[in-house]
Amino acid sequence: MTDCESVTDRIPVVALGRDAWTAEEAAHLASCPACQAEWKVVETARRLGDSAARRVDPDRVNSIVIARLRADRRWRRAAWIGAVAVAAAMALVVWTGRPTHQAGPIATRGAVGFHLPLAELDRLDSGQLERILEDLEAPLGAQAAPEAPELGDLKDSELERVLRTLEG
Amino acid sequence: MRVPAANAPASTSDPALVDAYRAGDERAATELVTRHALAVGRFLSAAGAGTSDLDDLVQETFIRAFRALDGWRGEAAFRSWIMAIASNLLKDQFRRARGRRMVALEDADLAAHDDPAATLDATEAERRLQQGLGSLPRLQREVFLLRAQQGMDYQDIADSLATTPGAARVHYHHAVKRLKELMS
Repeated sequence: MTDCESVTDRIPVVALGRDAWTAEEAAHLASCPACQAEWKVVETARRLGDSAARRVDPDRVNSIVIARLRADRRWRRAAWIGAVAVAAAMALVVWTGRPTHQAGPIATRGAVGFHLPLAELDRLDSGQLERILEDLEAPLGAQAAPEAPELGDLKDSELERVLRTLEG
Repeated sequence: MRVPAANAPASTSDPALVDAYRAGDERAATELVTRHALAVGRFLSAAGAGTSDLDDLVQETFIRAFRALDGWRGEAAFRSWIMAIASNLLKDQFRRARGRRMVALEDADLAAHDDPAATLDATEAERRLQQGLGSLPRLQREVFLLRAQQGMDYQDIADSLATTPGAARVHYHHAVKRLKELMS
């Protein structure tokens, strides 16, 4: 004896044409309004689906999908190359900036640090260095030439020359 | 390495085609699209995709599928997996459209019969069904469509819609009951 459940379970596959009713199932369907109503619902849904499927062009879908997948691959490749280039540039920066033992103008400065660019001072003895320091520490004007004359020592003609110079 | 065309005939299984595509064979992708495009279109249309959007949505479903192919491990059938993507895509579209659920069925989409009376009956039935589908909760509608239009079993439906086979069966029966009422 075929019941409603076993028939309704098979309605979709039969409606899609993947299977056929057995004689017993067909007899049940012919005499059962509930199963007939369900058959109508499922069969209508199948027709509706077939109508919708007519609006889809698989060739067109295919060509667009494949084109976009190719574009994806190109983009991924470009992104990969870009990432490698950036990584290489960063590696180069890190490599050139690393500490080095080779003597060179830049490396020497970095390693030795600050020093006066007056190499000749190194060759002076301590007495000479002290004199230089005294000169540097003396007040301004103290180093004026000892032979410079006072204004009072000047002759009239010399005083007039000085005044003319000051007045422009 | 590319797989020769002869290695991807129509009889090749979906998992084999997926493997071939992963290995760089573009023709495997073509075969997968050819194999499933109509089913995806059928599902999207009945589930509420607009006529003008249908082609775009079918394309987008496959694009998303191929981009996410590494995530497909073969636990579920490829058809179930792609239907899950189509369902999510449609959900996104509904969200963007702020609640728009179904579009009016165009006359051109309805069945054509030689017998005018039969055409009228069929057209009326399809119109009612389309309206009825629009009134169902999303999960009921999608379970019904995957079963009635794709012939999928409850396990595959559950895989597609992230539910259980038992719940899918209940959703299907609720959907059928409601649609029977609307079409009687």
